[in-house]
Amino acid sequence: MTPLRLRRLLRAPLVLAVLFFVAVFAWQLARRPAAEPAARLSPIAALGEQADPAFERALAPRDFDFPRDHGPHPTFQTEWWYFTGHLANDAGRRFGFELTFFRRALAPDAPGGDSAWAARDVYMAHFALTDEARGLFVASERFERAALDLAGSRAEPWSVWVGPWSAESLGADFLPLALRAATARAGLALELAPSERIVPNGERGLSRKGSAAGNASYYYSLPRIAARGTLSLDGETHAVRGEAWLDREWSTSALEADVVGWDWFALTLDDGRELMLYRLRRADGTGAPASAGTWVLRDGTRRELALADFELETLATWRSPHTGAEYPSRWRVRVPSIGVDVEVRPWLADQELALAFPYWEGACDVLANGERVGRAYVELVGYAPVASDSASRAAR
Amino acid sequence: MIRYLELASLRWLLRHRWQLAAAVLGVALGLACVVGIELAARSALASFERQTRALAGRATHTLTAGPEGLDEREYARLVRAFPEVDLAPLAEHEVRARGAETLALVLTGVDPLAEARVRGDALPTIALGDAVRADDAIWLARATARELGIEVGAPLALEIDGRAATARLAGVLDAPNPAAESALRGRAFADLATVQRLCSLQGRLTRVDVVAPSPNALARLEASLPAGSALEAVSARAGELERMSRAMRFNLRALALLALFVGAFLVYDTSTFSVVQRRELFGRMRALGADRATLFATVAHEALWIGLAGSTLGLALGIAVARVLVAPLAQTLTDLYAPVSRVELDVSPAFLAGAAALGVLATLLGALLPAWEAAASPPRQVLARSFFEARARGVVAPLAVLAATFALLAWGLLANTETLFPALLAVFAVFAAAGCGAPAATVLAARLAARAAVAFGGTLERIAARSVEAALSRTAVAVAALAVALGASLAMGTMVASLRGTLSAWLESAVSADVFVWAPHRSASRSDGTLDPGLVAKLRALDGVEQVATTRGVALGGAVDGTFVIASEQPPRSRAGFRFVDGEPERAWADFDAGAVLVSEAFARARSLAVGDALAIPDARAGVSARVAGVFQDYATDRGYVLVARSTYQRWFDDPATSGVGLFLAPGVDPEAVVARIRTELAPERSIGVHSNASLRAATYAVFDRTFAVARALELFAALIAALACVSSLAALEFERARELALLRAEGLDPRGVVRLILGRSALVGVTAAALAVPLGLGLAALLVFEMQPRAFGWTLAWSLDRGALLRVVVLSVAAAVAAGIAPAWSALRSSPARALTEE
Repeated sequence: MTPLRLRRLLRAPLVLAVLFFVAVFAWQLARRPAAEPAARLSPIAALGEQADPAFERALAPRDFDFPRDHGPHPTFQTEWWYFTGHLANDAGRRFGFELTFFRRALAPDAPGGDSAWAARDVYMAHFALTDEARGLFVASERFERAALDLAGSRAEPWSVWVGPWSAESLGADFLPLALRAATARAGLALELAPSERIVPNGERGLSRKGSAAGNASYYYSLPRIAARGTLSLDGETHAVRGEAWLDREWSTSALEADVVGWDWFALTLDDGRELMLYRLRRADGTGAPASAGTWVLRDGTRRELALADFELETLATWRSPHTGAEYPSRWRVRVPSIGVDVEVRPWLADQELALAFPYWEGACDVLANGERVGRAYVELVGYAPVASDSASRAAR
Repeated sequence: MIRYLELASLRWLLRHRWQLAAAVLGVALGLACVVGIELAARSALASFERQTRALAGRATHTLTAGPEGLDEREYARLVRAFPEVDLAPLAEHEVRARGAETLALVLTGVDPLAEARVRGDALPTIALGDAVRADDAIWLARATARELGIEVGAPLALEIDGRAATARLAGVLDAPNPAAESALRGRAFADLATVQRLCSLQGRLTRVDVVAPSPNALARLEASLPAGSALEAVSARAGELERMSRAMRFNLRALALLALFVGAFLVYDTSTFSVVQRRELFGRMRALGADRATLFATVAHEALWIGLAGSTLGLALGIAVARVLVAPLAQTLTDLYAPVSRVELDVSPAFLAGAAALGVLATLLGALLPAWEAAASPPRQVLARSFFEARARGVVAPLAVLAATFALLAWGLLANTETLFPALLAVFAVFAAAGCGAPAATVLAARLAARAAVAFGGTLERIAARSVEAALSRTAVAVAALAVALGASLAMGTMVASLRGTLSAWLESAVSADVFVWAPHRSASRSDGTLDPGLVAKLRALDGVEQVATTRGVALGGAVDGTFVIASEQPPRSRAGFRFVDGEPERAWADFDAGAVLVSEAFARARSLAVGDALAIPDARAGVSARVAGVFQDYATDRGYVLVARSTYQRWFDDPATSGVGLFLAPGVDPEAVVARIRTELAPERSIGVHSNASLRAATYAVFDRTFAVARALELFAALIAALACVSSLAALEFERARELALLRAEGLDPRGVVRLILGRSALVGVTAAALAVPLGLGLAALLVFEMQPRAFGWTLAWSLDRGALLRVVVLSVAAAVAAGIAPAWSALRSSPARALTEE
């Protein structure tokens, strides 16, 4: 054996050992499974899905029957109670809030069995606060089934709740009522004062969302409800007062197939008038024919608006760091027939609720010729893909 | 110079391939034991922990409420009262699913909406809508569905508390990662409503997982909890198995290290031999100017290569061993402690590097002494072989003193402590004492044998005996290696025999009912399932039943550091079987009936309880405690348990369930006939355990033997390495003496004489090793039986000698030694004396 070969042999164990470690390491790496792309589910698809014929549909105009209609309509599949509002503390610091309760029936009938967990309705609630001075926006959601009083709603005395978040009449009448929601960071306790204004939208409350019969919802609004209470956010607590807006809607099937989302505006003008508009958006960015609005004068007289009556011009856009979606972020709203030509400007660009169903909903100012002439809440749906799918999957 | 030395040393090693192979193999086998055991145990624990964490998701705590479970209305109250705390309710129940295979599954009822906030995307969740639309919808992991051979949409036959039920597979769950995958397996998921309905759990939750955002929130939640409920940290649960099985793994690890220890002996042996053989070379090198450090480095270098080669081989072998061991080990952990399923080997590069380092280090330690010896060689003088042997003989006495010191140390450790670790140190001290005492024993044996040979006139035998002493540096090593390994093997055998003997005696007396029926449960040592009340009533009413014992097992105070309580109706015939280690039986039973508790020995030891002490009962109403009336022998679980009268338990908890029933039959009634009747008429479901006394014992022995299969495998490894050590060192010695033999042959020794001489020498080494191994083994066995076992597991064992193991030690040592002589004898017979004489 030559020295050279001997040397090679000498090195053999070391080389073997190194090779062995490399092999094991490579094997370890190879075993790591590739990350699977998360399944995506569009909220629009959820709302627009083929409805079970066992549910009732919104077919004809309706004379609302209060207080019964403030309560749930279990024969319809979906409904919501949508509270938004603008608040301020004594020093004039402004806050926006959203507290929304959704009900959705998973099946026309309650399941059998004698378990208290057997329930057919799922409730979802969203709670968001905007702190203009600190530039803060926080949002969270809760899901519960309508079982064991975890979530539910009733007409008399009126209430709707999801876990610890609730809206509840304080007496026999619908108003005054109390709103209550809290998370680890934020809390809201408001009392909403009595108000006489109930504004039916669409044709006597029948709000058509498409051309097919039944692609509609029952829809009324309570604008400008005086509100007062306390609000806390990230360690600060404020006594606040202001105005709230309630949107009530229930339906079974609402959206046409080509609708990818909507832009909804609720303008409260300082001169005592209100303007509600929604544009049902198609994939190419144009408004669907069913887009509509309601114009309410100080004396309560109202005027229905059709797509042709209004113009929404996007003046700026904002890209969400949470979902990557691009949202319109400033608008010129024109309704020539009633002489409205205003700019709607968000308090904060980032008022996106990056939740199971991400959307943008935020407090805005209404300006005319650079002067503030009112406030608004704007909702932008269908811009962001569903990010975290576990909650939405669970609720399916 | 170094280069030439290295080349010379390599050439020498290559010329003595068998010696080299034995050394490498010794290290490899020893390390394989350590790696195999450690890797299997570590993987099992890691898998359990990952599963626990995957199941917990974001949850920081778990809320439980004793045997009755938590009232679901309490859950709803907590949800509404604590907006900042996320809660997820669960209802779990053991079921069996029957498809292509029958699988034991935990049917887990979840609220998918709560799952989303507590577990999020960590675990796939079920769709509430599907559950609402079909109240028999269940979900399985994809792999579980495949095992059962059912497709989505197909019905699945379930067995729940011995009743048959049907569910429908609504979907399969794909886990996002392997930990979640193993967490999902072994479980079936359904909506809470479905599980409550299927398992008759209406109104109750098994547990609630809690995500507490801050210690403050947790404290507020804790203050608002209903009486009898307890919060337990998930981190504690994840470490549960680790803590519970610590004593068992400690024992296994000690055994594995022992194997490595014997392997290192082999390296010592090889290195010593190589140094002795090259004494001339080393001496010449020294004379030529090589310094001590160079010689030391040369020998150490050799060991390094042996260590590297052995470790590489050992790692590969160890992984193979772990692959074989992991399933039985997981089964044992499941049998004894907590369910461990689907263990994947956790081979991390860091672990392998650590193990390899251990192997190399052990090898280097083994070569330290020979290397030092080589370095210490004075030039020229070393040329005399006798120099080495003289020096070896010189250390016999100091080593004997050291042996005595180690023995004293062991005694001191045992006498003054009560914990496990000192006892383990004592075990190693005893081994060290045996190792150090081996040269003295060898000298003594050689002299005795020489004297005996003189007395009986055997000249050759006398030469053989004297030459054993003359080659002490090698023979003592062979004796030590063989004695240590065989002693360990004998000790293990005796300990296992003692355990089995004790268990058998205990089964004989304590397991007294003629027929046993119990509900399915996960852990063999903890019967906490529930039997259908209708079945219990029918069992009581069976013909031929004279007395009935019932038990209800519950884990209180959380799974970790909790208390396992068995509420029991104990008829007179059952009571007769109890053996008390503390407390007077009659008094104890009277107190038991009056509300006191009895505790098992392991439980008493773990909690330092004695008769008269008060024991707080977790989960019961605040302040409930019971007096300990007696401590009884029990070998069913090393965690121990508390035995309480059914009536007393009923005062603590509103829990009428029964986990098991023992039937005492009237004289003349055939238990097997009763078993057959129960099987065919009352409980045809396989998940219900129905056993006669005899078959229960057989099943218990089966679990026992499974538990000790790992120990037995290790025992075998140690013996194998020892035999290797013996053959290697003795064969080397004989080959080295070829010249001496040739001389004897030239002087007229006939072939038969050669064989007599060689085999005589070898046999003497074997007998000496056996003579040392037997007392060592028995002493160690006593240490294991009377000290280690009580310290590790909390129970007292009765000594029983394994005669087979004893015989094995003697036969194996002599056989190994004789086997070691065969090849040299054969070679000596075939070689020509003249050539052998001129060759060296």
